[in-house]
This record gives sequence, C-alpha cells and structure tokens, in this order.
Amino acid sequence: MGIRGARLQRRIAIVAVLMGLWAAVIGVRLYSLQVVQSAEYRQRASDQRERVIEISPRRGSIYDRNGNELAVSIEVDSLYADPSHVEDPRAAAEFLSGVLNEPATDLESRLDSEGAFSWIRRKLSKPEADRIRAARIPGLYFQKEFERYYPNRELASHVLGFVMRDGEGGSGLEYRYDDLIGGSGGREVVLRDARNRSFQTLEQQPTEGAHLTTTIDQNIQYIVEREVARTIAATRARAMSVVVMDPHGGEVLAMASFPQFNPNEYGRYPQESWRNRAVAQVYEPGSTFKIVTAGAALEQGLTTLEELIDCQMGHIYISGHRINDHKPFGTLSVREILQYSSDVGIIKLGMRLGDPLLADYITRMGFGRKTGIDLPGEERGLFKPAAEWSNVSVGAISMGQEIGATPLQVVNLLSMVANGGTLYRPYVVQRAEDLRTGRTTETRPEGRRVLSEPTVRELHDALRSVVTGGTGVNAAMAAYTAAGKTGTAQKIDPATGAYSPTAFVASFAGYAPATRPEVAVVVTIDEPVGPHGGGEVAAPAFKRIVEETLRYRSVPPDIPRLLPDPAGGREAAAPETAPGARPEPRTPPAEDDGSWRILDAVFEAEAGPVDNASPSAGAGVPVPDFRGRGVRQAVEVCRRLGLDCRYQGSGRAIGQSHVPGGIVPMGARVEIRFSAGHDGAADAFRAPTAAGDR
Amino acid sequence: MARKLKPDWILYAAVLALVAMGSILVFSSSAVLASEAYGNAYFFSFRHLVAVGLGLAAMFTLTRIDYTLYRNPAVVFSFLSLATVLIALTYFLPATANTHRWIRFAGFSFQPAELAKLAVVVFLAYFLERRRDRINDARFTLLPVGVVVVAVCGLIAFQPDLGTPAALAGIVGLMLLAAGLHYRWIALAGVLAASALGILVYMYPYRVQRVFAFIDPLSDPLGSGYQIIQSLTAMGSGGVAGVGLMAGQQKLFYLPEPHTDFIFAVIGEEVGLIGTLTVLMLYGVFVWRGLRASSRAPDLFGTYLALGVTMMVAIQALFNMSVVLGLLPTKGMPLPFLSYGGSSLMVMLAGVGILMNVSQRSG
Repeated sequence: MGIRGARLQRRIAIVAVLMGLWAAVIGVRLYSLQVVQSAEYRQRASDQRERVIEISPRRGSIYDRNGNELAVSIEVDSLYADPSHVEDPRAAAEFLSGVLNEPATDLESRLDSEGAFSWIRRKLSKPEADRIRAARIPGLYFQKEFERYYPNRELASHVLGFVMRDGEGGSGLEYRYDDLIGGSGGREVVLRDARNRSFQTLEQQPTEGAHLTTTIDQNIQYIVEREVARTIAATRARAMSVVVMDPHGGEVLAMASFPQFNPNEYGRYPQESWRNRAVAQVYEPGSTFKIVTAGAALEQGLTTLEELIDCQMGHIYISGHRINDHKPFGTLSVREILQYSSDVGIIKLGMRLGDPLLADYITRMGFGRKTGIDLPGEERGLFKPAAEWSNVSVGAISMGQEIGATPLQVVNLLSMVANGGTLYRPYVVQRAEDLRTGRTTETRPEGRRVLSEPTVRELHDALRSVVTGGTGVNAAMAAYTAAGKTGTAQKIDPATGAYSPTAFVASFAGYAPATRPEVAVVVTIDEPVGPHGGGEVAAPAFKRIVEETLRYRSVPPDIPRLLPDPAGGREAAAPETAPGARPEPRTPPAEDDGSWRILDAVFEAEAGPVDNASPSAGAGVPVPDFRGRGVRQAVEVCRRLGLDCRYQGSGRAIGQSHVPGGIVPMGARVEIRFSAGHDGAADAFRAPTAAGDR
Repeated sequence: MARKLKPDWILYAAVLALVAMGSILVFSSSAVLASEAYGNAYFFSFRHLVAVGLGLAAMFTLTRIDYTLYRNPAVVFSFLSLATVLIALTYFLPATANTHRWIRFAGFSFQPAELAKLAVVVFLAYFLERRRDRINDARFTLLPVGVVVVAVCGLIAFQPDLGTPAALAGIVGLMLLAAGLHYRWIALAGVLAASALGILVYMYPYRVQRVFAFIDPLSDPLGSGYQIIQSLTAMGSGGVAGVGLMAGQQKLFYLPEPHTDFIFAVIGEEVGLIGTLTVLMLYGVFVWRGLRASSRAPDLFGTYLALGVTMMVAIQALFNMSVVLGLLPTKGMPLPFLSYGGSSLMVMLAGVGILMNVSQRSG
C-alpha cells in the first residue's frame, strides 16, 4: 500500500489515540467518583432513600414513696410533613396556620422544603391533632411522642424539675437522673424509592427509661406547700423554703420552695422560680448555727450544759470590736444561752474553742460543703477556712454570721441531733427500677458520727428548752413535743455591703416528736414584711407542718391525752428516751378531733401522793394529781420531781396529760391545763425572750 | 487473500463478555421496574434475550458472508434507502413519548435510526474507497458525503433525537479522518457541527437546560440536573466493589432508564469500579481488535468498513459512559451490547459480524 498505506496506518493510529484519550478521561472520572467521592455519594444515596424518624423513648415515671405518680409520660402526637407528598403546600399551610397559630409563610417554607422530612409541630394538643387528622391533608403524618406530665402541677416542682422540649431533663430530678430515666431513642428508617413508596421499614425500638421512686411523700409535700403558701400570704415574704427529712438515714420527705412554678408549663414562669432554694439558696443561718458552736464546745469538754456563763449584760469586745447582744443577759447556763439565744454567751463558747477547732467542727457538721443530695444545683455555702478568718470572725461565726448555709445543710444538722449524732447524706431517690433489665438500685443511707451521744443528749435538752420556754415556744404543739432553734439573720444589703436593718431571713429548724424524732424540719422565710423573728414567723409554720405531718403519719402523740374510754386503759406518757431512738412500730391513733381533751373523771378516780414524791433517778416518777392546784404550786412540784412542766391557762388546774399515780421517767413532759385563758397556746407559753433573738 | 478463515477469538470473547454482562444487568436493573409496570419481573429480560439471540444469529451469519459482497452499489444504496425510508416512516406513525423514533410491529418495536448508522458506515466505506484518490475533493467526495450524512442526520435529529446524529457525525468524521481528510476540512466540519448543534439546542429549550444541567447538576437537583445527580449517586455509592448484583437501590425509580441509557450507572452501583473498569477494558479490547482488523484489511473497503463498525461501537460506548458520568450533556443513547434495546443490540451485533468477516480476511 506504500505511502498511502503508511498514511492510513498513521491515521488509524490517530483514531486509536483519540479513543484512548477519551477512555482515559472516563477512567479518571470513574476513579474520582467511585473511590475519592464514594463516601459522599453513599451518604447522598441514603439521604434520599431513607427517611429517618427519631422515636422518642418513654421517660420513666417518678413516684412518691407510696407509689403515687409525681411525673409521668403520656403519649402525644407530633406532626411532620413529607414535603414531596404535599400536593398543595400553600393551602396546607393556610389550614395549619389556623390550627397551630403560626404564620402560614413559615409553615409553607417547611411544607415545601427539600428532603422527605420536616417537623411541623411537635407535641400537639389533642384538639389540634384531631382537627388536623380530620382534614386528611396528603403529606402530613403523625408520629407518636411522649410528653412529660406532672399530674400534681406545682407539687414538688423543685424536686422534680422539668423536661425541655427536646426531651431532656432541664432541672431537678429530671436533670439529675436524665441518663437513667431518659431511656434511649429509637429510630424508624423507611427505605423509599424515587416515587416515594416506602418498601422497607427498619425499626430500632426505643428503650424506656427507668422509674424512680422518691423518698418524697406526696401528702407531706402537700402539707408543706400549703403552709408555704399560707406563710407567704401572711408575711408577704420574697421567698421561702421548707425541707422535711426523716432524721434516721437522710430521706427527704418533702422539699418546697417559693416562688413556685408549674413544670407542665415551666416556660411561662421566670427562671428565678425554677430555683430549688432548699439546696441552692445560701443564707446566713444566724442563731440556728449556735447549735454547732455549742455542740463543738460540749464535745470538746470545754463546757457543760449547766455551766453558768456571764453574758455581760449585753455586749462583748473582741479585739476591740464591740458586739452587742440582742438583749442584755446576766448569767446564763449554757442551756439557757441556747434557750434564749444569747449572742455574748455563744461567742464566749466559740472563743474557748478557738478558730481552728471551731472551723473543724463546722466542717464536720457539714457546712461549707455540699451535702451530696441527689439534686442538681446544690450550693456548698460560704465558709472560709480558719486561716482566712479575721480577729472577730470567731465571734461572728459562733453566732451564725459570716457563714453561708443552705436550708438543707441546716436541716441536716438538726437531723444529726435528732438521730443521736450521725450526719447523713440526704437523698431524694429511694429506688430506681430499670424495667428493661429488671435491675433495681436502692439508695442506702450513708452517715458518719460527728458528735458523741452524750453531747447530742445535752444539745437535745437545750433545744427542747428552746421550744418549751425559749425563743421557739411558738413551735410548741399540743400533742407532740418538739426541739429546735430559731434564727433571725439580717441580710447583707447588696448596695451597702452592710447588714440591712430591714431585711431578714427568719428561720426555724427543729425536729419532733422530741421523744422519738420522726421528722426534722427547716423553715426559712426570706424578707418577711412586719414580724421577722424566726420565733415569730418561722416557728408557727414549723409547728403547723410538723403537727399535720405527724398526725398524717399516725405518730402517736407523746403529749398524751387521756383516752375517752377509761376501760381501754390509760395511756402512759411515752418515755422520754434519748434522742436517736428509732421510732417503734406505731399503732394508728384514736380518732383525733385535734383538741386536747381532759377527762376530769379520771382525776377523781385516782389520786396519788403529790408532795411526798421525791425524785429518784432512773426509777421513774409518779405523776401527781395537780387538780385544783394553782399554777405556781404545780410548777414548783414538777421542778422538784424532775418533770418537764407545761401549762395552759391560769387559775386552778382542771386537767393533766398524765394519769395521776402513773410512773413516768424523769424529765418527762407533763402538761397541765388550768381553768382560765387556755385557748391560746402561744400566749400561755410565751417565753421570757420570745421576740428579738438573733 | 487469505483463504484460511481464522476467526478473531479475542474480539468474540470481548463482545460475548459484554453481551453476557448486559443480559445479567438488564435483569438486575429492570426486574423491579418490570414487575411494577407489567407484573412480570422478566418482561424486559425476556425481550432482551430474544434480541440477543437474534443479534447473535445475525452476527454469526454475517461473519460467514464475504464482506466484498457489500461493495456493490445496488446493495449499498438500497440499504441506505431502506434506512432512510424507515426513518421517514416514523414521522407518519403515532409518536411515543413525544418522539418519532419507533416502528412498532407485532409487539416488537424497532428504531430505524440504529439501522441508519450501519447503512451510513457501509455507504461511506464503499464511497470512500471509490474516491480514494480524491478524498479532499469538495465537489466529488465531500459534497455527496455531506449531503447523505446531513440528510440522514437531519431526519433523525427532527424525530427529535440529537444523540444518534451526533454519534453518526462522529463516526463519519473519524472515517474521513482515517481516509486522509485534510485537517482544515476536519476543522471546518467541527465548526459546522458545533454551530448546527447550537442551533438545534436553541430551537429546543429543554435541551439547553440539559446542557447546563451537566455542567452544574446541583443547580437544579429535582429538575434537569436530577438524572445526572442520580446517576452520579449510583456510581459513587458503588465504590470499588459495588453493593452487589441485584442489590442496587438507585435503579429503583431514581435512575432514569436504568436498564437502557443508564445501565452503566447500575453497573457502577452494583459491581463498583471493578465492574466499570472491566466494561471500559472490554471496549478497549474491542477497539484494539477492530482497528487491528481495519489496518490489516485486504482492501480499502474492508479497512473503512472495519473502522466504521469499530467507531460505531466505540463512539457510542464512550458517549454513553460520558453522559452517565456527567461529562457530556444527557443524550439518550444505549450502551452497545449492554443496554436493553433490541434495535441497537441487533444492529451492533450485525456490525460485529461484518467486522469479524473483515478480520478473518485480514492479512
């Protein structure tokens, strides 16, 4: 073929090269698509094929100690759209706008978006869902979700907390135990083709969250919250909190704060109202803190309950600084220092201890650090190490100033005294039950002894005196004995940095029945208007809460009434045992009309020796017949016998709490009623220094 | 001339491998579609296998027919006329999907445009051999060639079908190039073809969209870019090894024409880079053996015939793959030997038969 042939071969080669180049371009493109960008396209493929719907898990319920539901999850409908199925986005948007109260343009943009899934509105109300369902708009679908519901509304809201829109706990137990009760979400994967017919559904079931059983008692919580509302109304205070604990082990029976909120619609309340003040509010405890100082001094053997201390008629100098007592006192026993809340007296005890020792006891009794309660937002309080104290700090701190504490820390301190010296970690969740795994976690009390039993017994005696005849007489109840301590702390004015003359935190912390403590309670009232003493405003609230709580819990009165049925036997006074005794199994009380009734007939039936009775330690004391005697005489007799005498009214004695001739232990409380003016317990039991303690 | 007729087994093997792959993938890509549309998963596969059978029969028959028989004006021109008339006939038949591409007969349909490609190749081989000394003569060679090609392409283009004329123009161009056309003519042809294409694109605005869609498919993912995005998605998600035969998801109504024009994307998804490179390599083998036959043909007619048939397959294959890969604007064009589509398959296999005969007689 010669030259022509050669040219032909060359031209064919050119054709081959052109083909080869084209093929090379394709090869490179294949490599880039199938190797380099493969993952990206794989994602794109699954995005368009799969519609992934998150299925929210059912949150575990929260129960009170008796199994009442405090927080439950209920099934609700959420509305979503598959925009590729929506035929007329504008019309659909306009319809939905009318039902959901949302601008039609916003809805339309979601109905007309790219992709196969878009939430329109989550957690619809029933009527909303019904209306939309009835409209049968193509492309709109419902997904079952769970909404948190708090059947008791505000009740225990600060303990429970709330659940946010995204299903996560936002505060309280809902937040603290979110991992446990939140469950884990499921997924529904719908595989679809380009014509949007789903042809395969893979489902990953959500797992339900664990259920919590709390130590809260719904009824006690209710009692507390009703009292909080009543006290707020009466005192027009800014804020308030109450904690009721079982002193034996640290169970919190009720915990309430004001301002309150309804967790079903938490968003409508100011954030301030979500705060659980019982654990998050730090205040100067004031006189209630004297328990710590006195306890430390007694424990260290630096004093005894009956040691007489010169209270210097109202003031003391520390490093040249004069500190005034709220009231001039002469010489008081240590018991009386607590009873009447003498500042000078307690400062002297604090100074005996000295900075390091006092600081050490403060820490031991749980101040300046978190109690470890299973609630979020707990504050540790304000407490400086001894090294940072000024010369006057020891004085200020001894009487509860220059130190910040939470109501929970204070009630925990009282629990410690009530149970005989063990400081427990307070807790709210008794039990967590994981229904899926069947595993149940129980909370066990954790405590450590911080004061010895003799010390606690002495403290207990002093705290009893506070209620029987000290600053806390307003806490005294008709049927139950109580012990406790008042506190009236001036607040520091944030503007001046000095103590405000008008803003106070009134508090009372105590426990009852004093004989066998069942509950420890703290009441703090922030800036009450008008009367502001802890004994004036907090003690009555304490009294009402405790009275109702003990009655609800069927705790037999330890200030016995005489039974209406003589044949049924006479109820002996509950022996005044040392604090720390566990309550014994109790019998339901007789029907209680709330009044203290004395049956004179009993008095006539028996009469024992009165004047000749002499105290004999340990052997018990026969109860005299006080009937017909005057007040002074009765009190005198009681003192001689070593009985704790309480009386109501004046004139002649007409009734008494114990059957004459019955044997009671020494120190037992005997209540006597006199013929006139016995309707106001508060009047009758007015203590020498009812007002003006610090 | 060699009397010892030795078939090119390599060429056979490449073609048969492609046909076999095609048969499997047509089933894989059409089964869901077919049972959805016709209640019979084998609807397309069965028809495809019928076409394969007919095509292979044609191939083996033509392998045995001496290609010099076609070097007869009566054969060449009646073949060309037949193809042209059949194309013209489509305009008098009811349109399918707004196009006049099909002649339907007894349950089967036929695309005369496919036949026209082979007719043009035979005509060109015959004519270029006749004008071997005056290839660059405008009046005696290029004008007649131009008239025939433009007439056929024009008829097809107005069906409307832009892919086939473009492929045909490419085949003719390469044959002319091999025949010794001056580069200045090639340049001129290129300019003319480009402007003709441009005019057509502007006459049919939806084609403009398609053109832009291939440049930036994501600009309109649900509109004109949709096909390309779905195709690239299938390709990319296949990765190196693919998701497995039958397991592809993109063919489930995402890919347009998964068993015809976009079967390469199904290969990409189900068999991955291994599959796509195998296909590319098999075409490479085909082109290699085809060009080899062309360059060794005993006469120029054989050379041009072999070259034309090889280009007919190669250009269409490369064009189809480029479209599927988003390198060229979307044009409906089957992948030779692989795609469902009886007309194309049978014409291609018939062409291979001719090529085989040429190669048997090569020196």
